[in-house]
Amino acid sequence: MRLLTSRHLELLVGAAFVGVALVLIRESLLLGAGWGNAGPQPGLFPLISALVMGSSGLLVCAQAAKDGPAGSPFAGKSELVEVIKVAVPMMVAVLLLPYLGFYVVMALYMGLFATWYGRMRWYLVFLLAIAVAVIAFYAFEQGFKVLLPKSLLYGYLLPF
Amino acid sequence: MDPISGLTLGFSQVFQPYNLTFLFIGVVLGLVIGVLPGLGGTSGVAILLPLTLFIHPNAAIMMLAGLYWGALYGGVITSILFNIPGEPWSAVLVFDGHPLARAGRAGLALTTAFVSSLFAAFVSNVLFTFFAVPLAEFALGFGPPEIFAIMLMAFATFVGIGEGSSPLKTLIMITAGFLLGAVGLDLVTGQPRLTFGTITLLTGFNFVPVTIGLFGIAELLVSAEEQARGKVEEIKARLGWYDLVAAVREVGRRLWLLIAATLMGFWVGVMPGTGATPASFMGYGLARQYSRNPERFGKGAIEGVMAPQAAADAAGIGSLLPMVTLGVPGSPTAAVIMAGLFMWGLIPGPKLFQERPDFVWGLVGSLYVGHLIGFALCILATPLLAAIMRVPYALLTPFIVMISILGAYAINNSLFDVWVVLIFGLVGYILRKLKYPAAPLIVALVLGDPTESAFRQTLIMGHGSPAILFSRPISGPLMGVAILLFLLPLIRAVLTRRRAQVQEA
Repeated sequence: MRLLTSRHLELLVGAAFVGVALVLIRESLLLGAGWGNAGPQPGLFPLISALVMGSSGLLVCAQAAKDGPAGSPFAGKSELVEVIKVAVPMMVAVLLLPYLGFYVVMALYMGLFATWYGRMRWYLVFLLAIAVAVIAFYAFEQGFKVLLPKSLLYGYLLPF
Repeated sequence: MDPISGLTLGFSQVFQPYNLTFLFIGVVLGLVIGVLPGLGGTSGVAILLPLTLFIHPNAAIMMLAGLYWGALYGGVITSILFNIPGEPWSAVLVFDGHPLARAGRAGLALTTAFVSSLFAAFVSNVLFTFFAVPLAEFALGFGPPEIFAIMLMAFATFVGIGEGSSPLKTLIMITAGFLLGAVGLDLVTGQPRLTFGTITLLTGFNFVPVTIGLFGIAELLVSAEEQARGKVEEIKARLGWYDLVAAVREVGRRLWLLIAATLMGFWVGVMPGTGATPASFMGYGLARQYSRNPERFGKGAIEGVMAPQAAADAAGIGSLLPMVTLGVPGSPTAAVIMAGLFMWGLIPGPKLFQERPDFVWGLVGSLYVGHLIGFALCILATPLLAAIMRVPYALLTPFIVMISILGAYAINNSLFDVWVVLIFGLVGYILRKLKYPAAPLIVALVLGDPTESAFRQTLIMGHGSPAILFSRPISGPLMGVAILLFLLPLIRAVLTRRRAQVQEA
């Protein structure tokens, strides 16, 4: 299987910047990018920025296209797998945040990730993860008085 | 206030137990972050920034600056002992520091780096102390055109002497930062801008989640790749008095090189834009250029450790000088610290010296004390600090992610910011792989509003014409330098092509 090469991605990202720039150029023009009652209108600065971004993006694409078909793979397969294995649990943790609250997610995420990804002994890891979450609770909730997302059980069964 | 009484006030601030405690915490955290290769000083400062809302600004600035110094010292350990850069600004130490460690002189290499750092810090602190007030007074007369010219110079520096990344990509990242900063309410008319009709975007993008994502999370994902490549080897080192004496002797024999590297680093730091990382590479170049036997470089030349570290540390300190006096950060890390000032309700710039002398001089005092703390901890506890590298990645990653989430959430109590961290982390990972530099985006995001308002006021002063930028005595030359820096990559490309043609002929 041929993996994504850096050149493909270079073109893709360059084109994405051009696309974003086009949308923002339109927005800036709608806002007005000329001279108004209070001097330059709000759209002027974004318009200039978007124009520079779009033209630079085009040039990046042109350079990547000129470089020819040879290109190193963006990342080795094993490396990409590793990145996905780290990125997905991160996303799951954020998704669970509004339901389980910061401290429960912290203990679960640390415990499960170290057990699964690091293949560490689960009872040791969980002992540590819970200890860290408890220390974090006392430090942030009581010490710094930071308001963090609470679990659905907050106020009924749990203090966090 | 004259520098001496300012410094007295500063030290009285630093030695208050409350402030000293947070300075100490900052340095220790900086050392830990510096040693860890997955997390840089800039993201460390960004992650901690929201927590500083809950402490006094005087202690907060000391903690964040202390973290900067700690990270400057900590990166040395990883680079020399593990052959991987703990920080971008210590990357160059790998070239000669690690060969020295391999040859059994790890103790000497480390101590020399620390002594060089401390020396550079002391010289730079003195420069800082005596230049701060004159520079601030000079800047009091600045109008919008001057401020805009300085801002433009900061961005031109990224384009002109960026760290090996394509100038086009740097331009894209700068403008992306501006555009992200423009989202929200327009600063003059109050109109919603680039919000696409949503309410979430009305408040705009806070730079903290963006910074944590682009630096912190993206760095974690890059180090995930390295997990696939296997373990790193470690060379053990224990530092003793013997090393300290030997290091001081080595430094003493090359004092002029050290002074030159320090002054150059300080200058690079003061110049708005880039900071310690290019300074360290330039310090290395300086040492090799003036060495009597340049062939030893890359095989364990002690100058290759000394000069880059001195330049990096001096640049770190130098980068704070324009930040407090002009409101223009000299480095990406300084930009994040400056964003902290805004958060605490302070406006960096010349007036700060009159309004909050305790704050400014407290920072100056902490430059001295923070470096001494960092130096002492490194000499005493290097084996302990190196042991941090043994904490498994699988435990560290979720911990760093959770602290990042906490930082992002605490700013506005909003889950939107947490998603911003995650999305910018993933995008940042891809951009990093394609060598898009992250630092210009952050600096542009922090400086977006001041740059734009200076730009608009300049145009109003010039009745719609930017010509006023070139006709005023200070902004004119600054604009000239900025344009030259913007054109530098083009000039360089033309020169290389011509040289290639000459060689062919």
